[in-house]
Amino acid sequence: MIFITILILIVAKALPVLNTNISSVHFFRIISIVFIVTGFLSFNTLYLETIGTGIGIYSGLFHVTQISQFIETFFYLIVGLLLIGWPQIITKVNKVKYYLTDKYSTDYSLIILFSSLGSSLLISSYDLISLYLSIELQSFGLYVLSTLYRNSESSTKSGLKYFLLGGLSSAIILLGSGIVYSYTGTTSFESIYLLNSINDLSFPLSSLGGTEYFLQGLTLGLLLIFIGFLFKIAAAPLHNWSPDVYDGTPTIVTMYLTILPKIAIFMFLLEITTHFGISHGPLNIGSFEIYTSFLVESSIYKLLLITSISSLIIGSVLGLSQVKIKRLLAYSTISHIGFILLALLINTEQSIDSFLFYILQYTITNLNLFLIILALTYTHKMNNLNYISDLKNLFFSNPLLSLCLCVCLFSMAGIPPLIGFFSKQFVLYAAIQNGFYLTAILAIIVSVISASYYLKIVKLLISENETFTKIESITENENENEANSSDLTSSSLSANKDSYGVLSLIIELTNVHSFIISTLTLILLLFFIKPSLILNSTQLLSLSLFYT
Amino acid sequence: MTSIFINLLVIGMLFSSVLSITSKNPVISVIFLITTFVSAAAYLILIGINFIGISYIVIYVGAIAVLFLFVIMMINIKLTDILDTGYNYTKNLPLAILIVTLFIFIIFQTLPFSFNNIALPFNFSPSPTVSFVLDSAKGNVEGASSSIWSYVAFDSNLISNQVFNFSNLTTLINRSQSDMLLTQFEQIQVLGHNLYTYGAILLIELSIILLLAMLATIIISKNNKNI
Repeated sequence: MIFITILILIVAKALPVLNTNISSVHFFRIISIVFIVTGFLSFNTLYLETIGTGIGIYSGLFHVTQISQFIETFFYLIVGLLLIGWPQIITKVNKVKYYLTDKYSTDYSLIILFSSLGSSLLISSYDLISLYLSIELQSFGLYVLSTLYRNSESSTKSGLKYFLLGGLSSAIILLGSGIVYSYTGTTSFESIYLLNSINDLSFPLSSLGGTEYFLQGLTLGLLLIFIGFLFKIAAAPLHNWSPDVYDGTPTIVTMYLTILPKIAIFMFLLEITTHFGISHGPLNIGSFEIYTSFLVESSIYKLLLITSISSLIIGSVLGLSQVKIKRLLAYSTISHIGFILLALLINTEQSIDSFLFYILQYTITNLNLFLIILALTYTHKMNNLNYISDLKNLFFSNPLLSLCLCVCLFSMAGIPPLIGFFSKQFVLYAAIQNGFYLTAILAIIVSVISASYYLKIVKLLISENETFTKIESITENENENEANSSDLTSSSLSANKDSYGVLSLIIELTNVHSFIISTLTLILLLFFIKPSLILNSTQLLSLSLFYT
Repeated sequence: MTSIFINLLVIGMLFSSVLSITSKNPVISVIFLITTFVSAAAYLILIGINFIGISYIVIYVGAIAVLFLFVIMMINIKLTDILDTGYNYTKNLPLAILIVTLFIFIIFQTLPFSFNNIALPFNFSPSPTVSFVLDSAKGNVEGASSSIWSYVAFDSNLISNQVFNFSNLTTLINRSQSDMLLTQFEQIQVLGHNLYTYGAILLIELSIILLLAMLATIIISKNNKNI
């Protein structure tokens, strides 16, 4: 953690000075390597013996646990992979190749450094103040990121919208933490948990008024904090900004916006919900559960239940009527958030296991999906792949890439041998085991509905258009990776030729990009052969949360 | 007397903040914003948080709001444009109603209606507060000031009474602030002490945010031709 922070800081501060010496290609590559190295460092701290139940660092303002370290490792790895997504633009001036990238790419990767520093701090924050500061650092980076392409009107518009609504949700979080502070007199989570548990055990409701009063205030504050965070992850009744924002920003920014901040926020929500023991909700009132602890529990439980169900429904039903591909992906994100929140609110060992697994799976799938869409955008002749109908007939011009896209979509829809099926299955299994029958049935129905719009894309991919039948024959006896990259280069050579004389711009996919796409797709496909790695690790993590 | 004045200030603050949102003319709304800031600063000073109140006036009123005023006067927004875009946002009204209903449902499922009337057990303001907003603000004041001065008093009170009082628990739990029991600081000293010892990492994080803010303004407003 300390290493990571310092490392990122040094890089972020030092590189603008060297900015003139390093070309932009090297710039984001260096940063992506830095991310992978920091991921490795935080992976190393997993082996520390003392980490046990978690260490508070920086005078208790931050808190390192095994889960936070694991998620940080994963997070940095994903960011490192995500930065690869920039295309190379090859400029030929007098037959000498110059490798350029998009002019925004250095700023992009620099801001991503800041923003992911904020999210990694958020994952391990253990105090209301540090929580607020890190969420601000994270989302401030995101606002800048979404207004990065300031020449395009849609990007600026969506960035402004994101900024205003994100500011609103930050204000709600701040109000909530103010209320919590005013009723408990402390900002540290540890103290708040302690107060809550003392109230649980020894003082029944009626003996003194102060305890009850404290708990009500704490509940109100926590509710407000939760609402703010649900706003930030665009869970359903508060989802309204997300399709507009995701649609307006350029795809490479959207990729960051949809995936990574949500991981951090979910980890934080996991931290709070498990420590307040929002476990069974109203199910075991009769047993040892004392009413006072039930107060904090039940309110957040209800909040999570309502948002989970409504985001399941809204995400899949409204997604049916979308014609733009990024809006559709935003709605599918909302429905996936419904699943994740469902796993979060059940809050048993098994459901936390499925929660972590769902987040890992969803991140990988979504990253792959966006990388493919980026690749299609670059190889396709048009500048931006906006509408679903643009994907029409793509299978015949670019079979392997669209095959990867199909695999991704199937995995999101939850077709059995793919990884998405298993995650949904675990969530539903945990739900049924704990008596959430109605919600489970609803989730199944809704996932069938949402499968229909994924299948709509797949159908468009392979639907043949009579006026434009151009089938490229590609040798398929090579393995997928090589075929993939060769196919990409062959199609990209014909892609973007300016008839400008001397200067011709060719957008070319990097080899790493296509390699990552193929690897991720293979992970999605072949997960069921050896599932023990991811499953064991998530299970161990969820056990470490409960039995320490 | 002071509490009445404080309540009046808070009401004025709320009123002017509502007016600053609803007023049609941007210049007038900025003036109401300044009113809000001034009354907030006066509120802070009256309840004993002098330094932050004064810095509120210096920073917000002196710098930011005046800057706002200048910018709005310079760019000369047409009023009709603002009014036109306003209609765009009323189409989400059903969603807003849904959200508010759900929120109120959750709140009143868990909190009783009599929530507003109970005073804090260690609240030393004599008059029961009128509305919830005032109440929570008082609680905040209480927390802030008690963390600095009044813990000692509470402790002696607790020992004599032998009744479980809530502030006892708070002192036990607030490890960082138990240092404050030994010495008395001035307000700025307290702030500095907390910020430079206990919350040094917060200071670093704040400086990172500031760095990002500077970088962001440079990135967003720079001329792209020289890359």
